[in-house]
Amino acid sequence: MSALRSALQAAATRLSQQVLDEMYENPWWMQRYGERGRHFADEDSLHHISYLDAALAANDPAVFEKYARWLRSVLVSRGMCSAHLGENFQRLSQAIRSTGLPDSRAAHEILERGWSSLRYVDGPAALLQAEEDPLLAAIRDALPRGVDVREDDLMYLVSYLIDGVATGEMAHFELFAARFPTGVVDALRKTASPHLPDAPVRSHRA
Amino acid sequence: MTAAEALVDARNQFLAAQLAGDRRRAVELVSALATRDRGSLFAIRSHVIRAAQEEIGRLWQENQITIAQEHMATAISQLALAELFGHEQPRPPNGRKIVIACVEGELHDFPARLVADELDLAGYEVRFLGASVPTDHLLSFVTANRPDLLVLSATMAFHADAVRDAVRRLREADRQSPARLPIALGGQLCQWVTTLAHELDVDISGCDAGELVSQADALFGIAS
Repeated sequence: MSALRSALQAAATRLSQQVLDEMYENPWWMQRYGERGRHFADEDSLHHISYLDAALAANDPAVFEKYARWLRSVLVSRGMCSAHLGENFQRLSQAIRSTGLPDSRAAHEILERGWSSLRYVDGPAALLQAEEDPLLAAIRDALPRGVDVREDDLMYLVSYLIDGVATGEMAHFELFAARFPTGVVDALRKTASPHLPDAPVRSHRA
Repeated sequence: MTAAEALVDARNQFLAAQLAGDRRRAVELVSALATRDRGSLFAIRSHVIRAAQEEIGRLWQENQITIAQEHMATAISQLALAELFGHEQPRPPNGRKIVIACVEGELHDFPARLVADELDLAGYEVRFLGASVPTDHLLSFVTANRPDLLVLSATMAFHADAVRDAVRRLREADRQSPARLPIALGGQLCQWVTTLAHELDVDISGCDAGELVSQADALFGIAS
């Protein structure tokens, strides 16, 4: 077993905790999922490292890419968005770097392939994703003066919309959007409208 | 209704019984299908039970059922497979013995059981060891039973190391044996880690039970 794999396995719990502690600085996680959610998050985060380790062992980033896409479908249906997962992978990469694991370049490459694989490749969701920057600009412009919003929440809002378009299920977007002033969500919808489906999007599950 | 439509209908009825937790209904359904057409056992196993099980997996993935419901449905599939086994009329014994085991840590034994039942039907003498067989005990069992083929099954990618460890130790044990033991790799792990079969230089690999039976037949020169 490589020095990186040994070190990764030895540090897995600590790395996982570090990543989640950082993500849970956003109070939304605890508000939305509570302590029970943190328990599942701990399990999932360790699974990310297990699959990273499996990809390292096989010297095949595709192992992690397949996992990322599969897990996205599991988590999006349970109320998370693609940006949450991508952020977890990016923070894990940073945590590995700051911990100084040996020969860690391969791990960074695999994790980068993982979050890159979360980009939609076709359909309206891919078209919408290509417009992420204008979408973010539109909602920043629409924020009322004096309203302080976390930058990561803006990214999540856009990600929820894109996932909703991809899955045809908008309930999770609407739930998250309720945190924002109406004008912000309207601005997002208006900017996204060329890529939103003509037919009303299903919204039956919270 | 065509034969294909009848299988889809049967799958839907079986799935409904699984979701309702109605074990008796599921078993009665499989039994009635098998009694009506003994030549359709492969189709029942593949297009009714396995297909319903795949749908159960999809429903869990999409958060439409819970883990508890998924486990309940899987237990019903296991029961249905046992019922179907009672209807089997296997081919005459071909004289080959096969051991099938999930590697240490792997709890998903449903795919391995499908393979075990198909191999049994094909005339092999099957020893099915089920889920998560500790590698030490697997080696002891193989040494004591001297099969013609060992099938290692795994589903999750993070069990690839358990497969690597088992194959390495089996190969070491081969050095004290008169003949090299052929090894097959089965289960969804083959799809997660597509390079593993080549890396380990196993004799046979595949995710599908029918595919593994065909390869075993080819390995032993048995006409399918």
